[in-house]
Amino acid sequence: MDYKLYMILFSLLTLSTLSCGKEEVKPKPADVKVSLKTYVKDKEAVEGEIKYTTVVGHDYSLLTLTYYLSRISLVEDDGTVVELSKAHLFDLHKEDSKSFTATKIPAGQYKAMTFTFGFKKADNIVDFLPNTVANANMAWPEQLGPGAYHYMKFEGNYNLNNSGTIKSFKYHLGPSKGGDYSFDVNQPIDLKIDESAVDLSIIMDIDQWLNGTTDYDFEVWGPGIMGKPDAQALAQGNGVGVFSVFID
Amino acid sequence: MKHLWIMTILFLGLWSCRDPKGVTPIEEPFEPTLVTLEMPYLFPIMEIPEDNPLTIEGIELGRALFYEPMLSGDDSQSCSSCHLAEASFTDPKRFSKGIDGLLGKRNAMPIINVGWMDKLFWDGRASGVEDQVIFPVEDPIEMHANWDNVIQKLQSSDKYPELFRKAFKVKGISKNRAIQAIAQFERTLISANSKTDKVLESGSGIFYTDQEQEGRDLFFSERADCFHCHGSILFTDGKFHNNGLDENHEADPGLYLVTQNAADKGKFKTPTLRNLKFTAPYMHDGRFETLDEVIEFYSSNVKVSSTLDPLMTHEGGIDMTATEQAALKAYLLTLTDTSFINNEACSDPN
Repeated sequence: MDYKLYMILFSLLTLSTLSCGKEEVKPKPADVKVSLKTYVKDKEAVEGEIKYTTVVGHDYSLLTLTYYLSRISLVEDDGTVVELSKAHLFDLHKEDSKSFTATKIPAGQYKAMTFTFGFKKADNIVDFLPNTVANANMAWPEQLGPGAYHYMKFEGNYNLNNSGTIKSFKYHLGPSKGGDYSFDVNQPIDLKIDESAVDLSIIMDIDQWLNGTTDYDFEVWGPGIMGKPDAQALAQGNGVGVFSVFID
Repeated sequence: MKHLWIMTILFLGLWSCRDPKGVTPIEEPFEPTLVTLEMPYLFPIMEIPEDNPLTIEGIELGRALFYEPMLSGDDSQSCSSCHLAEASFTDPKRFSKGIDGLLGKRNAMPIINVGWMDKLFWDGRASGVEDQVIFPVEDPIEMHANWDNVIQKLQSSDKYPELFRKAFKVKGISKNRAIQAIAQFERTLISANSKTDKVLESGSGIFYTDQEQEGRDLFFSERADCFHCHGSILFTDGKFHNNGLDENHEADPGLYLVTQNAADKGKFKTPTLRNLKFTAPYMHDGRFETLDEVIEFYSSNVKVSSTLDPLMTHEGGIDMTATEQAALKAYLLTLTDTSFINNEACSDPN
């Protein structure tokens, strides 16, 4: 009798263990923190002093940097696009703008991070972003072409031919005269998301805006370029080398 | 016996609720009426602190306090003494005189559309509207009062205990509630009814004159570049800039006094251009008496220093012609909102 009871209990235990083994453990989503960092070549940029060089020979400083990235996404191996943020505004002077966290990103294997620098024409409309003071301060005036927002404000001073004469520059990018000078960035990554939070960094190398594919000369383009489509196109071309993405 | 116990407990309960004077007030429960501010056309979202929602009663109390001389050390000055409604809530005097006859070093900032701003005062020393209310009351060259004394005076008055009870649902007056109420009132000081507002609203049938339009085009050009600091519908970016008034900033280093960062010397908060017809004198130290002087300064007298904002030309000014200067002035005057300074809801209720 005791033996029979023992066998029954053993059978039940075995069955329950087996049934547990069949239950599929679903991978869990995770939070993804994205930090936006500003570099000059391979070092973090320092605001203030005129200490960075241009190929054409005017040392320059970084004083202001605000910019939008839009449609920031991760691309799964099967091509599924998961949007982390519709748009993010970075401001060098606001610590809380230097990162954002996308919550509950589906688990999976991701092969790339993609985003648009600025906004594609279809997205650069007033209703695309909430009407906050920060977004209002990035408004693009209709006098300089249709479109709602600057893509970027990069400002500083430069030392004219390194002669000691100090001038200022306003490297402001946007939909000059109605053109679309945004560009897409697609950075390959090998990222597995499964339960644990993930940290990513997007690095903007501001040196590339000036010393990229085409050398940018403050003197040639003048203090402001919002109304100069040629300068916007040059910047767009230089944008190719500006961004890189890393898993922290 | 059972009834005796009940009566005793009831008696003790009522006895413990008596007020210190031995009188048990009978108060009807009161719920302040929440107010949702209607955002003017094109205006950004106003962020209101969760712990200080606007209510009809809070705004009414704040308005009374804004005009209340008991907030000063000798009951002679209120907030409105240096922020006059007819001057678009600034002081037409270059420097305001405090209760002890001492003069400030800066022109009073206009209190217009402050609900959309943070880091208030010319040097940004207040983190927000509530924080801003604290300073003038205590400042020895302004109202030179002590908040504890102010609260005592308000507590002893006939009207304020009831106004506070209605505004905050609870008995008693505190510094924090007084500050919150004034902040609520200040958030209602919204100017959004200028000619420019009407022009921007499509279908209004109101248009700029040719001269105003020329001024507007100049304003939004990169050459004059007024719009980067005075852009958006608020006509201020709310940030801090050195606009080239001085070559050195020892007399008043502005934002530097708060941050102690040398790069902030000579930077001051951008004031709104709305209603500047009424806000003379101009600049943080009120050095310019007229708009013409201001425009001439930007045309030919910008001073270069190490912290001069990159948005400013480093070559002395933008060299406007007389025609351009007149056009720019004409456009700036389209920001005049007379209904704001005559708004009964913003006037002295006392």
